[in-house]
Amino acid sequence: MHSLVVHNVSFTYDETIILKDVDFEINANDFTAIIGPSGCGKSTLLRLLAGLSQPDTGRIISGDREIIGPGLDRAVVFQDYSLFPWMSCGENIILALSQSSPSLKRRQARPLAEEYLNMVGLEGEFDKLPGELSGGMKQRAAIARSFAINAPVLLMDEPFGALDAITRARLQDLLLDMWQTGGNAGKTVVFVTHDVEEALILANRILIMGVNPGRIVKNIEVTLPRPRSRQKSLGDADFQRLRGEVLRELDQVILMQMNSSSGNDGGGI
Amino acid sequence: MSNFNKRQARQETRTGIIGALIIAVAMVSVYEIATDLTGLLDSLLFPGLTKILPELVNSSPKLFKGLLSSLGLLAPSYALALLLGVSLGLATGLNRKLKIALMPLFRALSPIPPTMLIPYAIAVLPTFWLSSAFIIFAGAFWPILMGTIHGVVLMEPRWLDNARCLGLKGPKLIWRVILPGAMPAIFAGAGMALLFSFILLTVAEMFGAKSGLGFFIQYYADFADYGKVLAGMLFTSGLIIAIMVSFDWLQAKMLHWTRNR
Repeated sequence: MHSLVVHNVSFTYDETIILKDVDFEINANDFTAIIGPSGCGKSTLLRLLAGLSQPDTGRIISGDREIIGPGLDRAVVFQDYSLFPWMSCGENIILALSQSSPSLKRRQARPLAEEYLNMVGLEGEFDKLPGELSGGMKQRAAIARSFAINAPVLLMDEPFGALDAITRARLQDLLLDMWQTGGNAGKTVVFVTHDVEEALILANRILIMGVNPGRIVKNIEVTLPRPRSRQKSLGDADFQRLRGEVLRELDQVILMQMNSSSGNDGGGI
Repeated sequence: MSNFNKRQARQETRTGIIGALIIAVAMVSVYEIATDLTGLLDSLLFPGLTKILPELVNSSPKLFKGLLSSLGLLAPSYALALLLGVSLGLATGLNRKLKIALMPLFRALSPIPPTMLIPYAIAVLPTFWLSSAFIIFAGAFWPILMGTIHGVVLMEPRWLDNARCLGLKGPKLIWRVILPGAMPAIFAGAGMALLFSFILLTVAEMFGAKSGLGFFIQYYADFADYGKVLAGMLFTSGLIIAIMVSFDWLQAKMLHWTRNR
């Protein structure tokens, strides 16, 4: 039962305001996508939620505790680098298991790790090094690891951003399945992406971010019925309507960005 | 695909070995022609294989004793340099204050040739063994230290983020993430350190020792017995090649993951 509260958060890096007065709440067990053009600070926001950076002002609360650093209540999947390349996939998952349940014996950890690998369709890949796997398989293993931590919150930073369209679609289905079968015991997911369709297929709610400074400009409820599948959602009339709505908002954000930057250039002459 | 890569790698290794053998055979043949067959070279300074090979066999008990003596000097000195260099390197690389305080000192001291320390090592340390061990240690320590620091400082920052997200701390963080992540740079430093220590070992043995391979070569050079000198040189080169091949093997094994990352 972990909700996330982001309260008036601002973040500055090298005197550039990356995030300004970001304020939103994410309900426990909800799936939220954060979408925005590049440079809007969506990855920075995820880093703050992960506890890898601290906001300059404002507070972030996970469950009933303020986030002051990374914690095992939040699992993180990065676009790349989620696995340590010198350990086999299985060892990566065992390392995560040993962190979340320190009393677990190695003898018990191995079959458990294999179970998590099976769950993401990586049967028999326990001993493969991450470098020996394709990008899609690597992200499957990263998802397996994030579920092995058994954290109530799952933070994902463009996890499928580097994959080809077909692999991406497969992994969206996998994530959808894994999250939906979690039922009421499911996870609170924050999913950063720049892909509108991906956000609509996966999330219950989409937060659209604006640029200069990064902030939340719009909150869109994705009312598509659950349980969803990618195939079913794509054919839904509501899907097309929502897609148009999100794209219009994003266009506006980009337009504003162009206006403000051309204004800045003009000021310099 | 990985099977194909392995097969290709194996084929490249085989080609490499064959190429090296051809060059070695050619060089030995040229030498043999210039010595035993035609006598172009001074036969005192450059005895032919007909003289070197019997010397190699005859001297082998002495050479093996020298080998043990040399390794008895090299191994502990290098091991201590490895232990202290990696530990201090990890501590310096991980601690910002330590890094700021010590890096200028390390940068200034590391390029000083250890051979400059020889007079003092001999004057201050009570035995020949200790002073030679110290010189070899001094040569091996700096590259290992600097390699380790670079490995830690230049490590992929995402690996550290990742480790923090998993809540890894203390010895587990060092053993499972920092050390393996810094391993490519540590190996680069350790390889250079190994080359330095060979040079310093033979230098030390040629000028002060009563045993060891360097001593063997210098001892017979003083008697102008160049058959034995060349036998000693061949034997020592063989040893160094054997150690370097083992080192490369270990490196390939431990850095297996860097190949197709």
